[in-house]
Amino acid sequence: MMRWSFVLAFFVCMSTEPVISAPAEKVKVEFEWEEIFGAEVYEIELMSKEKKSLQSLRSPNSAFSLMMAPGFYYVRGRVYDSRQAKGEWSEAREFLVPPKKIESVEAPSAELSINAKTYTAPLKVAWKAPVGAHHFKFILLNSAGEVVGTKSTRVAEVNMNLRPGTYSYKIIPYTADEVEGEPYVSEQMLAIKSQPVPEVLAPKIQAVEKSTILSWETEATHPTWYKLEHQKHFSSVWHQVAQASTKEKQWSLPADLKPGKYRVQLWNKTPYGEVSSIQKLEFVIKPLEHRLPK
Amino acid sequence: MKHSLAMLLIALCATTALASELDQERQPKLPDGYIACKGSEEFEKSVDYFRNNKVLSLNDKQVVTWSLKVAKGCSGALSRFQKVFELLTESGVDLQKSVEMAASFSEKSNEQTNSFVALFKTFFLDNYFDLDFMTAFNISVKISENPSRAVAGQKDFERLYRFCTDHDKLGLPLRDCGKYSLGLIKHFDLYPEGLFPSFEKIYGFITSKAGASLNIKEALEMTDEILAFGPLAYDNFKKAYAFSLSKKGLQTSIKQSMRIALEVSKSSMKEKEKTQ
Repeated sequence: MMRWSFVLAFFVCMSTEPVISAPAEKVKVEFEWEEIFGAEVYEIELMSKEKKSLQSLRSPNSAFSLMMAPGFYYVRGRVYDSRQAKGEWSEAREFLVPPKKIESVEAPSAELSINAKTYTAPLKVAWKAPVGAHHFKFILLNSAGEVVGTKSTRVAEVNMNLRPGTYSYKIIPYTADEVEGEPYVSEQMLAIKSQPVPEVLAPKIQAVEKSTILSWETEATHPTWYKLEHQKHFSSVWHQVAQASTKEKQWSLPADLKPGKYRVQLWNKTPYGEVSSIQKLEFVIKPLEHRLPK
Repeated sequence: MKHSLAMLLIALCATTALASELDQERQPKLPDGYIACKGSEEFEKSVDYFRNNKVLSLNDKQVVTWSLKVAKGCSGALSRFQKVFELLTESGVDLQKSVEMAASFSEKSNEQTNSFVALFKTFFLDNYFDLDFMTAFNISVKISENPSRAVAGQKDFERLYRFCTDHDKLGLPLRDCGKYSLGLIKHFDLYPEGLFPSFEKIYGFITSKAGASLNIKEALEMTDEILAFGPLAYDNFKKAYAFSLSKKGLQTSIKQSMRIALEVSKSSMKEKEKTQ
């Protein structure tokens, strides 16, 4: 009895177009291997990722064509001779049926306008989910090609707020069992032009009842930073008294400030680190007369 | 043994009596131009003061160094030091500078120190002047150098400052006026009867049509120059200017007449020793 051992030399070929008659989530997959002398019947067995048998197919030809959902599979094969004697199963080899490529992307305009309040530009990219895609990874790259953000999504849409810069992106489809499809690469760069950070304007110091209030004006919606420093007369060294940020556009100075020279620096800073110009204000705290020698 | 002990006691008693007698003697006379100083007393008090000063927190060596420095200032030196030191540290002056300034005042007179303290409080704390710290400090140091004229000096400065800031006069910014007035005070010692009247006359003349109709900047600079030649300078300047312009005189241009008049005003006074 002649036994034919199956030599794993098959080819998997997927058609580029989904087959209309096939269920929408399946793609056509073709297996083919070199013909084996004396083989009457070719049999393949398809298994899941967990190596559970899914389907067995027999054919007098060495080529098989079937519809498969994208995913992770094992396949093994054997042949029968003219007496229907079975050869041994080949080693199970894994093969991947990736999801289809993303074709239809609603690309945003190449130049996005920035929101002066948030200092970011909203980016929306939507695409048509290709066959077999279970979820997606959206990868944002800067002008140097470095990854600056990733987002995984089940829906075929991504919304992000981007700070000024130049970007490109990739969208990678995945099957449910993480088989990666061919990435979609954006054709053009997205440019988000920088906008000046709103300035801190008209800082002033006023005595209000028993407090001393530092106030300012700004159109920024994010907090304004302030730094208060003290310098003794005849000294060149500034000592920091306080540094903080507030959205209030005013700050009540500490009540126990020692006499001497003071400097306040005010600036706006976006959540992404862009900084406005620094406004400076100097004032002097005079001593209390009753504390001075007569 | 008993005899020698009795002799020692007698000797001791005699020494004590002699010392007590010397104490009761009047102080030895000092040469003319000198005043008596209680150096040891000032030194002891200073050591005590510096040892217990928590702001300065000096080590033993520094205590001795500063105490010696203060004691050099003669009687009352520590009191003067303390006054200026407290004034400056309470006003927010750097500690090192406060000690140096206080030490320099410890060598001056009580009048100079008191005058400095009073002037500084007026110039720095008084909202009328609203001077910045440095101007207030420098003007106080300058005027207190001659305490007998401190009041006149303060008045002079006040009048100059008011003339400079008042809107119906020059109406210049406070800071500029503080600086300019401080600059003029350097001539203060030349004007026993006050500097401001001369300032007002000179400025009035050189900005008038009879004068050269100078603008404010030029007039302020020239007034400063003329004031440097003393209280008679204005009179000489005015006469020389009129002479240079006149037909009987030199018939020079206004500009040239101003230059000549300024030169002539230099010859408005001369130190006595040099005339002998």
